[in-house]
Amino acid sequence: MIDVTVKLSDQLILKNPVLTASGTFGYGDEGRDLVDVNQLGGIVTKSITLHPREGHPPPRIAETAAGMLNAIGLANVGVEHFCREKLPYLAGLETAVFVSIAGSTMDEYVEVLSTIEQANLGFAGYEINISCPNVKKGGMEFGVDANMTRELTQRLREATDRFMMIKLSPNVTDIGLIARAAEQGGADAVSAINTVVGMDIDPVTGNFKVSTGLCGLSGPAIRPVALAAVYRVAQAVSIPVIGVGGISAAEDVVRFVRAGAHAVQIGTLNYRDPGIGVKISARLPELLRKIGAGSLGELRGLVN
Amino acid sequence: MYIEDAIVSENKAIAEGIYRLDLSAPRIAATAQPGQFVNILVHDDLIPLLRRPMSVAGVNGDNLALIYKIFGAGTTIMESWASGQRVNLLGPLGHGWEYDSERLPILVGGGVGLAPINFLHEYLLGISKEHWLVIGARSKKEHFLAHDPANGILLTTDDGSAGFHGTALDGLQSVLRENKNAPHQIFACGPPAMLEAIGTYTVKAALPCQLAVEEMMGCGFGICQGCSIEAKVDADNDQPSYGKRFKLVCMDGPVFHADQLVLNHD
Ligand SMILES: Cc1cc2nc3c(=O)[nH]c(=O)nc-3n(C[C@H](O)[C@H](O)[C@H](O)COP(=O)(O)OP(=O)(O)OC[C@H]3O[C@@H](n4cnc5c(N)ncnc54)[C@H](O)[C@@H]3O)c2cc1C
Ligand SMILES: Cc1cc2nc3c(=O)[nH]c(=O)nc-3n(C[C@H](O)[C@H](O)[C@H](O)COP(=O)(O)O)c2cc1C
Ligand code: FES
Repeated sequence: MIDVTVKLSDQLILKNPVLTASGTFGYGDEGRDLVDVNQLGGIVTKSITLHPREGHPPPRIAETAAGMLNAIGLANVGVEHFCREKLPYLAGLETAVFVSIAGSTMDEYVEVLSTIEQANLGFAGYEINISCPNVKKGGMEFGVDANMTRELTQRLREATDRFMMIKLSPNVTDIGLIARAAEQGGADAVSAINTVVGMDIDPVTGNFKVSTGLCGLSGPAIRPVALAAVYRVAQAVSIPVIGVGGISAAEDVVRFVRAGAHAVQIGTLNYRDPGIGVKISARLPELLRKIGAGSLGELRGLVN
Repeated sequence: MYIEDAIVSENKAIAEGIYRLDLSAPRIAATAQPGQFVNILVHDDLIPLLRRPMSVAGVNGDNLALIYKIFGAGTTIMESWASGQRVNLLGPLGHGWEYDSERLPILVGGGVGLAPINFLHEYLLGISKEHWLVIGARSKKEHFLAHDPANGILLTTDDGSAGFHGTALDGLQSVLRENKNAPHQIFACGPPAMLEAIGTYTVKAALPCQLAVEEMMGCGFGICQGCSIEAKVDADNDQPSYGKRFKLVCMDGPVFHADQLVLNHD
């Protein structure tokens, strides 16, 4: 038997290393006709904020070579509605659920997390989005500053005992530094990366392809950027690293694990094929057998 | 909503730059309603990355018809498909036309906007419901139906080379003049300028009108929040777009009542 389980902590073992990335799988219920989400290693929800957010004006997305640009603007239902309408379903799933939270001030992050804690439901933990390039206030503001990252992580750490991973931005000079700040603040893991700042312009009309001009690039186009980021982060910290960015096949999972990741998240590719996470995790044992590895963990950090 | 491997049965040009693709897709064909769409995986490689949304243009048994126009990479690949080609489809998606059997349907289509209009036209023929079909194009070459006002089919051309000389809106207004007394219901799909003109006119004149609109799509089923359109939303946030200012074309649409949308007139 090839072992594809992933131990993230003493309490948290994933059935396989494939999670869905925040903002690319809604609240887990939209695709339930199409895919058995319980076969995933885990789900990360759309980022939740204190108040509902309507998001940016259209056009919000554009396609690029093997990638896409987006500026959704963290459109989400808000924490109160989330706790009432979405969390009970998520808590009933037989897969690890991570609630992604975002805010524009530290107090807001803490309030969102505390509100969810009060709901007192069973789910694995949180992903803290300090890396969204698409909101004016908060988001990436925290993710580019090591001190703020450390302080925010500490404050959230005090508010929950659940597993907590901090999601890092690639749009920084030294991602290892920010990762270390999260680790010092008490994070259980870090995930990397969020989208890469990008832009496209229509050459004929001169219009920005996405209404905000600056927006976030994702998909296979950013995989090498993500892989390098994960490699650097894994060198910098001793907590688990979750790799995100452009993953489209089981081979990519192994690439990220070799770079030092414990597990991965799939984002943009869910739009192309909502069943991709389940397919990739099902193909992993065969790939590991081909490589000659008995478990995924054996390959972690193995690069030459 | 299904993911289904469809098989192309026929793919051919029906007018200048416009193609009709017939595919066998039993599960989607059995449930698709006029106005709904499918999201097509055009290539197994990662370019183009996203699926391409196309309205269902008709259903015949296990077969699904699409009508498409070549725009760029995705539709160029579609043009190359021969019968027997396997094509991965996601659908049926969105919600379709709301048809009121008490009213006279007036269908208005322009360009490839004819696809969802054609499906409704075939549905109405199937239930023997009298209706009007107005189809706009720039010139004769883009038309593939015959001008036949006696049977409720009115073609318009911007250059007067076939049918009624004028825009689709001019054609609609002429049909409205001839059917002044019948309570009617307008269904329109076409290029943005045409929808804008028809939407603005019908809202001002307080005529019941539904428009099928397009927006860039990431997923087609509500998970990316990419396909928003500015709309008048009265409910709270318990809806696919999460907020009050926008609706999602893939979930709330692609068919909208004209007076729910924010068109340039207000
Ligand atoms: C609900 C809906 C129904 C549609 N029905 C039809 C139809 O019946 N027949 C038809 O010919 N066309 C239809 N379209 C438009 C069709 O999706 C685009 O023409 C097609 O995606 C172009 O792809 P391309 O790769 O050839 O061109 P590209 O060069 O990639 O794009 C040309 C333009 O097509 C549009 N487009 C590209 N990708 C997408 C996408 N993922 N989602 C939405 N728009 C996109 C954009 O406006 C883009 O600027 C529909 C669109 C929507 C949203
Ligand atoms: C449309 C869209 C919306 C996203 N929304 C969020 C979000 O709400 N919170 C977040 O942390 N990341 C969000 N992301 C980033 C993804 O979770 C992921 O980090 C990124 O897309 C890179 O992975 P990928 O290349 O597999 O897509 C979003 C990405 C996309 C494309
Ligand atoms: S296309 Fe993704 S939400 Fe509509």
